Amino acid sequence: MSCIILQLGQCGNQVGQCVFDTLIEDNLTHSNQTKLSITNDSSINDYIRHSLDRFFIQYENKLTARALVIDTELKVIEQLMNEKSQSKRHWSYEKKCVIEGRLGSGNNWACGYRNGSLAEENILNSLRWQLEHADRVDTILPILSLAGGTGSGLGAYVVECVRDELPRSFLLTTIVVPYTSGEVVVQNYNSLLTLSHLYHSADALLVFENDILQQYAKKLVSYSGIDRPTNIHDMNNILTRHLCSFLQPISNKTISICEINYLLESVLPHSFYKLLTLRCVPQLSDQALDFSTYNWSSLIKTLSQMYINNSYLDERLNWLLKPNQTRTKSIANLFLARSYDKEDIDKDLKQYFNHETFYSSFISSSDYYYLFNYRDKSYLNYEKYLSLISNCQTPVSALDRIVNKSWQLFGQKAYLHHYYKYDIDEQEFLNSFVQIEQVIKSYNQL
Amino acid sequence: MAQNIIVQVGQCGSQIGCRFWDLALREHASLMSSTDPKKCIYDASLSAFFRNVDENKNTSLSYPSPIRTLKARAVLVDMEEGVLRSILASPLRDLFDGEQFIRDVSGAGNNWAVGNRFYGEKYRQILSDEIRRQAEQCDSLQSFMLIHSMGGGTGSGLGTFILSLLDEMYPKVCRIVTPIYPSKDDDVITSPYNSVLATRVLTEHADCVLPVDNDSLIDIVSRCDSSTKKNDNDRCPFDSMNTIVANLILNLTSSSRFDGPLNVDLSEIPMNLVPYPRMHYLISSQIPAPFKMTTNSSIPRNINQIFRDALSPHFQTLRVRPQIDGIYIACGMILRSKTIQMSDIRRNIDLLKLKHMKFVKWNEDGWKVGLCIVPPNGLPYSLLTLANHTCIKETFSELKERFTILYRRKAHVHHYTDHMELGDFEQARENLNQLIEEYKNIEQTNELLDTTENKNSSISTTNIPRLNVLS
Repeated sequence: MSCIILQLGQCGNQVGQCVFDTLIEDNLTHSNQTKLSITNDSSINDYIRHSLDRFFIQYENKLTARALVIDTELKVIEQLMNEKSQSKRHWSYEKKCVIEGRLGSGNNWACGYRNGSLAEENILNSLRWQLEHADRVDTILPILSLAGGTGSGLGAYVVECVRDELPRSFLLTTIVVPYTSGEVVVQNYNSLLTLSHLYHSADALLVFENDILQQYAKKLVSYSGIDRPTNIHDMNNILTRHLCSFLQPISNKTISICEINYLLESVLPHSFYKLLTLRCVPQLSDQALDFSTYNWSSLIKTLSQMYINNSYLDERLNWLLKPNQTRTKSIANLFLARSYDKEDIDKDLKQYFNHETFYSSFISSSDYYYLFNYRDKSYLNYEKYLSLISNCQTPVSALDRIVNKSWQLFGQKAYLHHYYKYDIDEQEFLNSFVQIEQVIKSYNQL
Repeated sequence: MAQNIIVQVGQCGSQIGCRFWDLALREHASLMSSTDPKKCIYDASLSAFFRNVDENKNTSLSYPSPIRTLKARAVLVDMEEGVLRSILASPLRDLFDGEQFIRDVSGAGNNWAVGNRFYGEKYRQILSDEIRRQAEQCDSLQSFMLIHSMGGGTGSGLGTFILSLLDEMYPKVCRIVTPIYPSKDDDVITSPYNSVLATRVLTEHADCVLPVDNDSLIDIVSRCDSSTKKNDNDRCPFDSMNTIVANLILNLTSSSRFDGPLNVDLSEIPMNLVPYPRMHYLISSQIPAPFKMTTNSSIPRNINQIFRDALSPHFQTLRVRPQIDGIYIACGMILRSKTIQMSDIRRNIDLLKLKHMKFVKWNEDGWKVGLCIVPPNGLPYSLLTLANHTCIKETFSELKERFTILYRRKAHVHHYTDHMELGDFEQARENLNQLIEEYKNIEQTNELLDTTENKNSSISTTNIPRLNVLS
């Protein structure tokens, strides 16, 4: 029923704030209002009610986000909590759920991990506070980036703690893979250690890559006609839109509103395959939306070509590739269709996604993909929005890159003394290498 | 925000330190409105180096609060009276409490052993008490910054003693040292001894060292200041030289004090730029050379030009040639500018990497970038480059040579053996040798990696193959 979002580190906090803003925005936009009369008022009200209940605590007309704000530096938290930004929003964070440190983690995973053990009590107390204010919590959503010290190190510790505290809830971790060309020199070490710890504790890892988000943002900015460089806000916006399209209420033929873990169960058939990717169409800037109309079959066709090309963007696709030349295989796919029309897309989906070459050989054809719909309201400003969550081989190349570079550094024993200082020794690194190599191998064997 | 404590030791250290406090105050003052005293707030960036004290009640105020009296987070140590007395007579005296001065009368006589062993023992308790007092007044202590010269007695001897004391007392707190190496024709004859003995302690106990060479400072000043006539032809322009070093520390800490899209804390600098614990010597260079308000015409306007200048040896604080010999292990850039964006920086870094800079094979992405939106006082931008480069072994080799010339004859050694043993000299030289070997090793390993790749051989002894999962 309710989900608690854990905002870990600078990236987690910036994205988390965006997520709540976007959820509210989505609840407030009915783009079908201008075009058609609202056909199903009660359904939309249901939608809004469920969405608010899932992510906010409602009390006396005030909305409090179901979130923990955790960081080891004050800068980002101050920005989130200061008067000016609070006044612009209709919702707020609960002060008891803000856990801040002063010193930062110095881009050091080991330092972040230790900060986690120091802050454990505070974090669990805030978590319990949130749990008390929710009827039933099924999903916990940590958001973190892999490169730095806090998000990755502290984040890994927090996820482990939460797993111990709530062994039965579903932990879907959103991770942001850093730029290949490097923001932090030891980012590959940090990413490696985080991934191996998360793979143990979390149920699913939803992977976003900064490189891709940057390309996507650049494309959108160039479409909008304004000549400016892309910045972090653009990228955060894209990530949040993708994420929210999946977090908002949705239903299928039998159940009116499905829980997030119900959705994800279908896409996580095997406990060792936990990497999820999210592809969405249409990919337009806000300005262009007003001028475009789409039909479902073209959207689905684009999506299938994106899948075949192993890409997240709908540009520079090689349309000549046939389904049997697909560059990625998956275990399961999950479609979320949101619009205000009632068109049936089963036929199109079958035509484009029912190829056995798309899927691993041990999956039976009835389990290839699942479809969930919400057809009484559009998502944000998009007339039609189709999200594809796949458990496929796409993120493996990023993991491969990370392991390669870390192994190079590890072979030279470079930068290790910083981790020894906080009791992370070589064995820990070796365990992580082993774990992630296994993940890569199993995905490659699909 | 995290706090830092400055420890200035010896004559050189004190003078540079005072210049630093002067510039830091100017910087913060220029950011606050000068007319409305109510708006002058003691905020997070000020608390990095200053405490806000209410003189009447004698309590420190935490931020944010209006500024009453600022006290510097510093410990000033000198074994001679001259410099400290002049500080107490200057307008900066209100920045310091009496207890922050630790002084003696007779000086160390340009003798490292006297500074380190004799005065170290004598003042050990007082020093540790004062350091502890300063540290307790900090919310979250992030680093100690040490400033001292290497050629003299107090700076190098007592300074390095304090460094090992800090390592003992606060091992987890970052220790960043800005030592000033003597020029080749320094007045002090025993400066090579002092430098080598001190370098040993630096290698063992510091987290990060930004060595500065008097020779290169003089070069920078004379190159940029060709218009003014020198009053005394023999006197070094110490004021300008001190300003350069003070600005180095200011720019280094700018990103942790002020806001920016990409912040670099002081603890992140060793984390990213120091792969091996002993090889923590970073070559620094600043564009534009900040020692006085240069006229606008001499500042390059083109952003790409800034980055190209960053690699030029003209602005380095050490006399080494990174473009010619040796290899980059890691490189960091901290940019202070309102207008320059991340994408500009990225583009330029890609260009530099491609054409001009040779990195070790295993750390090709060894870059750390910081962007701070507050430019320095009086300049539109400032770029600080910190490079961990193997050409620094040249500096150490030269130092070793100067040391050997003296030590071969055991000249002046008897002054030292009053307080230490002859074996210490040997050990210090051995340590320096080892350091030079380590840097050479990196270069050689990289060559091996290079050649094995070129030959396309499948058997490579230096490149370990990745773990293979047996299904």
